[in-house]
Amino acid sequence: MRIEVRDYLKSAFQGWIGTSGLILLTTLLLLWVGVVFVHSATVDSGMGFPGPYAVSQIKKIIVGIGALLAISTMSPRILERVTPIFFVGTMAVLSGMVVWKLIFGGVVRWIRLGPLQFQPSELAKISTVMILAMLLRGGLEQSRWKHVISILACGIAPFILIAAQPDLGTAMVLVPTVVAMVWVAQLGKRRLLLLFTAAIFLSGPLGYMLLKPYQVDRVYSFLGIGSVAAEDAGNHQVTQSIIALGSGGPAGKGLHQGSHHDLGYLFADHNDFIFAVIGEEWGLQGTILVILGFLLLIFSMLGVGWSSRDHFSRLLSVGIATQIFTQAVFNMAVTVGLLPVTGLPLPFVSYGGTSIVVSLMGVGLVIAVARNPIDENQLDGIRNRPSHL
Amino acid sequence: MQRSRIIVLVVIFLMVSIVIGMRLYKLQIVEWREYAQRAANTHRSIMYSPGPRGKILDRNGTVLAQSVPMMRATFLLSELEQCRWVARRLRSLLGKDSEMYPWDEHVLWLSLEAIRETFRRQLKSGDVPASIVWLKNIDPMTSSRIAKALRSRPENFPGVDLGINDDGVGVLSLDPSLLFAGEVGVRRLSKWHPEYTADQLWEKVQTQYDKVRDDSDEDLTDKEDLAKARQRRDRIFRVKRHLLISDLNPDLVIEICMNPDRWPGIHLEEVDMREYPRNPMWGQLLGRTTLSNLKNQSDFKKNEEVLIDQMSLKDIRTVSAIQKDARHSADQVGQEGLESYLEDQLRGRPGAKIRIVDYRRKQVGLAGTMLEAIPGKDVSLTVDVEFSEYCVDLLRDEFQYNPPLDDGPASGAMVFLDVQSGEVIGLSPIPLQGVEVFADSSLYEERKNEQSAGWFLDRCLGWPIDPGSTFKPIVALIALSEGVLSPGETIDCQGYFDLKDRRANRCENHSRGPIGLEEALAKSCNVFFYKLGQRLGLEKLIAGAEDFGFWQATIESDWRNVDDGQSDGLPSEKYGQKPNSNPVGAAIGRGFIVTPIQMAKAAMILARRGDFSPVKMFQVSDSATKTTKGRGRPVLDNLKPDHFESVIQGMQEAVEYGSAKNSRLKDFNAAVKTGTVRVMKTVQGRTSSTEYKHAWMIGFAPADQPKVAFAIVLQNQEKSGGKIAPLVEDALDWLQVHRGMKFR
Repeated sequence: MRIEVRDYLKSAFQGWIGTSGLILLTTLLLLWVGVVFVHSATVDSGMGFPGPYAVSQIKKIIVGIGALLAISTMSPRILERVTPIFFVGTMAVLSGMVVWKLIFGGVVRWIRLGPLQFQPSELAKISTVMILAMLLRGGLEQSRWKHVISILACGIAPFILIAAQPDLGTAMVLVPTVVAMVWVAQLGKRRLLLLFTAAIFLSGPLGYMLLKPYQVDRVYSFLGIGSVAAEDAGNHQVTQSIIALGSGGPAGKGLHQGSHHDLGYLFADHNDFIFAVIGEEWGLQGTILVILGFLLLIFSMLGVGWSSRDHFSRLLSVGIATQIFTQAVFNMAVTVGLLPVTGLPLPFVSYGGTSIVVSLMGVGLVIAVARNPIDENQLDGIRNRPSHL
Repeated sequence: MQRSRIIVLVVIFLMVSIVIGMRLYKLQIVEWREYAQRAANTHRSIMYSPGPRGKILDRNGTVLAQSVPMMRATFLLSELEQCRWVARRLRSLLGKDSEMYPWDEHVLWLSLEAIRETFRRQLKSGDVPASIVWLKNIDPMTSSRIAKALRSRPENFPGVDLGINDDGVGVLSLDPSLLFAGEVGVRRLSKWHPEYTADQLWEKVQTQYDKVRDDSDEDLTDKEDLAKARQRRDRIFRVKRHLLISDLNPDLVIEICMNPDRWPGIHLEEVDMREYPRNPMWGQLLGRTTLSNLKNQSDFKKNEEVLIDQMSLKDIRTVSAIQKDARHSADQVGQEGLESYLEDQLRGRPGAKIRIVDYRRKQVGLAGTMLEAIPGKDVSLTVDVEFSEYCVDLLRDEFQYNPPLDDGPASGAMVFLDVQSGEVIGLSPIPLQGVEVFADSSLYEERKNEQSAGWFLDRCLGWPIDPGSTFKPIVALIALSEGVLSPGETIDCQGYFDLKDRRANRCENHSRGPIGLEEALAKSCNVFFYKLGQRLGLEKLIAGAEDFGFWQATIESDWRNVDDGQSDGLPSEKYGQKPNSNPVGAAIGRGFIVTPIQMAKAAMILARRGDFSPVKMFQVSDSATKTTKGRGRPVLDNLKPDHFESVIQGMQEAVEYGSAKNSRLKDFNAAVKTGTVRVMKTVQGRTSSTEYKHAWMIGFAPADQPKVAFAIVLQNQEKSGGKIAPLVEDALDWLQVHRGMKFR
């Protein structure tokens, strides 16, 4: 019995030295920055730490860390086995929400289960990465057309279902993720070209159909060709974000000294525009620190993919890294005025529930890959195509 | 191959990050000063606008009361007053060496206030210095620290300058025109508004500033109370807009719009004023509005309504959620008359918009109106203002030739009702008093003290007096209903009710002998009705009169049902007083008081042959909410058509050969009853009659198919009821000519 416990403990702590540990530490650093700035953005300086929002954020982080640790113990083989169920489950929930919306109308993004509520579109982001990793693990150079079509379908279906909620920002994150995974999976040049052509032809009409007027307004306002209302809705937020960020200067105004966001000029300062709060209070040093933190995290994840000998594991790492990076970049680009408002939170940093937990689950997946490397005897390269494809 | 593609991804991610980094470099290194300046001097606030109050219109759409936009100037203390913050920031720069710099923030601020005092004197004399020395001999290290702060954040120290000599010792000087720019602006307002002195205007700011500075509540031990007190002070300082001038000179509005940087902290707000184009017509009826007073605000709390411009809201969506229960402190609130009665219908809901101004006080961004104010509903009355004004002129002309015998103002009323619909079409009281009395305090005091004159009371609805003989048709119908008088019955009139006491209860209106109902009405025989009063007794008389609508609210509306037992009727309405003894006297309309509108209503019921109808003054938009009451009134239910015809015949005979025989009323086929009430006065406990009379006339026309019912009264003059027929004739003529009514 004693030996079993010792073995369990040994296995639990095994694999945390090295890349896994670095990923975990970087993630914790970003989470801590998030808690500090969520607190700063939501309470007066007189109120002690942690304020109510920070406490709520910490609770969600604890749940997320629990999920991360649980997932990190799983072998990629187990993850691979549960992937179809997970994907079909999330697609079913998303489809149900779209049907609900068609019948009852309104905006349906959240599901409430007793005291808990979550956003299925966040889960769909991970499940899409997992299913694509599974579908692409066999490589694509020798793939058949129906294989390509199934990949296309698994990429487009969640995009449509999420965009129909409507949550176009989250759906947009899927595009670079799918592209990066297909790219790394070595799709043949001809098929790659066809896939992109098909994607572009599909995305044009789809985007036109799925874009809501306010989303069009945001794009128009970003391009400076919008109406007064559009300018008001979108550009104004970005303008205030830039003022807050720029006013921080190189060294920032200091924690709790960010008057521009504190006086209410910046909506969603604890959420979508938390990067502006960091810039205002910590200045350039803070924003660069956050960017470096993300780069360290992403490169560590890509490093896990690089060193992995298993294609599923590699593609999973690449997919999760790309997804987190894309979301972070979209958020920062909006904050600095390089993109129109998308409504995407900054992973690990912005205040939020499902986003935090799902991002940590993603990190857990990569750590699971890092901690459970494939047998070295197995050759690198393309594995046998699964029988069901 | 796969690994090499991961390298490509790394390169792409790095390049994207570099793009973001370069953008950050541009914002936070190259252009940060500009953004810091904008952030420090940008002021965002939610501007609330009161919801325009609905109009009150007459039956033809003529405006009786409306809201007109007006600009007012308010100030936001946090934008106006900088010196408090300058003192606080400087204190933090002076370091912790209490020996070298023993002044705390408060002392520094007091020193700035002292400089301000000097500056004020210089302002008055016109000798304003460009710079005033504030602090000397600042040690080199502290000087360096302050210099750095002034260089990096000059917007935090408006008008503050640091001079450093060769030894590094610093001298802080102030440009008072910049540091006290807010006060300069406020004082400058008096040039456009000479009715205020510069000191008076600044006093308004000072009052609010004193509230912020009053830290007596810092001794509170309860943390929650302390936090609330601080929050309250903070709101006064940073959120609440305080009124400076309520009706701005248009030239000043242009000046502030064109040069907002010269008027820091001063805001222009559009608010509504109430205007009464027909003033003083129906002044007492319409009432007035004012800004909300303490009582109103207490009522708002009870009704769970909020003063939206006194809340600290950041989000326009919150404003939208509470809009329907929101009020604005600049809302005009009905205080009296219909303005008060119709408050729920007339009042609008405030709107809101985000306002952001830059350091030059110019609006930035295209905020626009985020939430439109919801205007109040218009309310249309059934009354015809043109006709009513004509009748007022008739009354005035009458009094011009026959002035009132007492010292009070000419006093009278003409009420006309549409018999078919029950609508009030003419309502003409004199004296008229409009809102001008509330703008003139001496006039207000003068009229308020003349209690007997009752300037503030509407003679049609709110001024009950004895009805005299005009009450006799009602008594006759009650007697017929109660069976104490048989159709065709005669009563012997020998000139006295009680032959043993010939001083009281006399009748001198006709020759003596037996007299029937029709003749008794036509000639207004008193003895006939004394007898009826005696037969009925007080209780039946009162109950019967109540069935005709006396001593209760008369006007029914969509919003208050006068028969629900809870309504108080219109605010300007009075119900009169029932007789409490002597049914004999009450039967000829003495010993109790009623209003002209009640008499007109009784005439209308008579004209409708007992078909009871509510009297309406508001044009109903939703008729489904109305219920026309059936009879259900015992006295009316017991009456038969021939009872009415007897009474109406008596009233027609009054025109032909009775009390109104010398008039043209027969041309209109009118049925009338006149009344002459000798005014009684009490001197040293003894009541005696005077030479003053109230002359009454009620009736309807034409008698067979009535269109209008009316009640007219002239008070305290020498004419009897029969002599005021020309007023009715002229009014009916006007209705024929201008409103197409046919009476012949």
